[in-house]
Amino acid sequence: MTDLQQTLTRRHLLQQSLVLAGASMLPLGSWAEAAPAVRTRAIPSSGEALPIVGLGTWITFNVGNDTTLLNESTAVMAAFFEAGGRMIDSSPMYGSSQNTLGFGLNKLGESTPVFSADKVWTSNANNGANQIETSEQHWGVPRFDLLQVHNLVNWEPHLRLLRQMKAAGEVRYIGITTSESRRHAEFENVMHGQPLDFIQVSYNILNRDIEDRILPLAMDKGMAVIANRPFQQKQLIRQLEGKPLPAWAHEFDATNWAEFLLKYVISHPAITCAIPATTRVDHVRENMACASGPLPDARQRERMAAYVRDL
Amino acid sequence: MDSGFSYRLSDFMLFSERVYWRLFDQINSLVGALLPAVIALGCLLLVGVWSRHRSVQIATALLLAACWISSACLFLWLYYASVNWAARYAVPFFLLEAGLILLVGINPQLNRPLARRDARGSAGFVMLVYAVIIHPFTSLMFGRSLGSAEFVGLAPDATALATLGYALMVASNKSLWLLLPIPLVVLVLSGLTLYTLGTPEAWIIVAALLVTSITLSSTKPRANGPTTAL
Repeated sequence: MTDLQQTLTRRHLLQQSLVLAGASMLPLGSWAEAAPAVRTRAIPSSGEALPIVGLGTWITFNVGNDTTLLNESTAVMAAFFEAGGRMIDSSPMYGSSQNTLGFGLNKLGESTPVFSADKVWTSNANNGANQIETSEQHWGVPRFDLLQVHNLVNWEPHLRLLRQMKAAGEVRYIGITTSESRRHAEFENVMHGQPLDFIQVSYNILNRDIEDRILPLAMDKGMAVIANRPFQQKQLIRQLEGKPLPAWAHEFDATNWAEFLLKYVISHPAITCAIPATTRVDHVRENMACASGPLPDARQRERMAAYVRDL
Repeated sequence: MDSGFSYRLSDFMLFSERVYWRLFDQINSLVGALLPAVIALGCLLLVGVWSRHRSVQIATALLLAACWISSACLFLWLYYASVNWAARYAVPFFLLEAGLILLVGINPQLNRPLARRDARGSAGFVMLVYAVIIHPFTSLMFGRSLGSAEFVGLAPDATALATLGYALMVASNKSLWLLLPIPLVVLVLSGLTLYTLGTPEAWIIVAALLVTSITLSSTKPRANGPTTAL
């Protein structure tokens, strides 16, 4: 489910090629019919249902002009949509990831059910609008579904701009993000003082800071929550590799550590969508399978966290 | 970025190890059939640094300067910048290094005497041989294909390593400090990149920097003077 094994085997390459070949044969509008039913959560501010597992692009989709890797990324996107996924998240900070998404969306056709989530990330308040326009061009979308202020960088003027854009119908949802625990106090202040549709934070089984205050606050204020780094950029999988998966993991259909970790994240009732990043078709399918299987309940979640903490 | 202070080193790593090595695959594919010529030109450096003839010394400097220009234009501008926007800002420094190499190579007063079989010269030549002949094969040593090999004139690390060797052999004590800073900074930044990517090649950079610093600190300065056999 992560990029643990960087070197693709012949089998993986074949899988990616088959996915891409299959996707190119899909007629317009057929993604939704082809996709299996997956668990969704409602965006509190609108009630719109969003599949609980999305796709991140940090590092994994920054592949430059490499045609081989661009096609592999497209295959990952195709597998993601085929499995019922919608939200793809990126940022101007992520190198060529936006271009990679544009390449893939163009190749897969206009009918993809993508829920486009991007960010504004510039210290210059006057650059926000231009940056967003450039990001739209990279993606090849007329407007984004969601725009967030990345890591609270110059958040006040940017959030003003996003509110204006939302009022003008130029974006559907707005929000803020952080991937740093030490900024949670400031993050909470913005959540208290600003009308937001979404927040995006780092959350995983060993990084549970947000469970105490931010997640309850998001539920209280009616904000959707995107959880990034559910595997802590592969580190968690590496840490747990070789350690025994508890026998009781089968109670919620977790057959490996990646499923165990992702199910922990998406089973929190405040989480609207988790966005694991990957370069592999088999991993994106595994991730999406977590969205349709059973999830641990509150008691099981505590047991999971304690088990991993004590390993 | 006004909040840049709060980022960690790994937060600046925008790409994966696989993408990084594929950049060299791409540049080697671009050069294609000319790759043997690139390698042969690198080998000419090994011969040129021993020459007493002024014209050959200048040609050697020109060749090494061209290596910096080509690695800036091909690797940094065409490929690396597509996954790391900061790479563009390194291009002027690569061009500056090319100019400095020419300045030292053309001006006999900035060369050291042709006593290049001393410890400093020997260390320099070993580093030059490593950069031109051995470094490309580290791709095989670390389980990568030869397609992603790093060649002097295309790859910044190989070019910077060759320049360290050249500077140790050719540059006078004063001009050494003209030639060394940019390659040293390139190697430190590259070492940090490789370390953050978790690749063992980072230790090659550490070893090269250690060899350079030990060589410089343990060899006594020699009197500088013209080097040409007129």
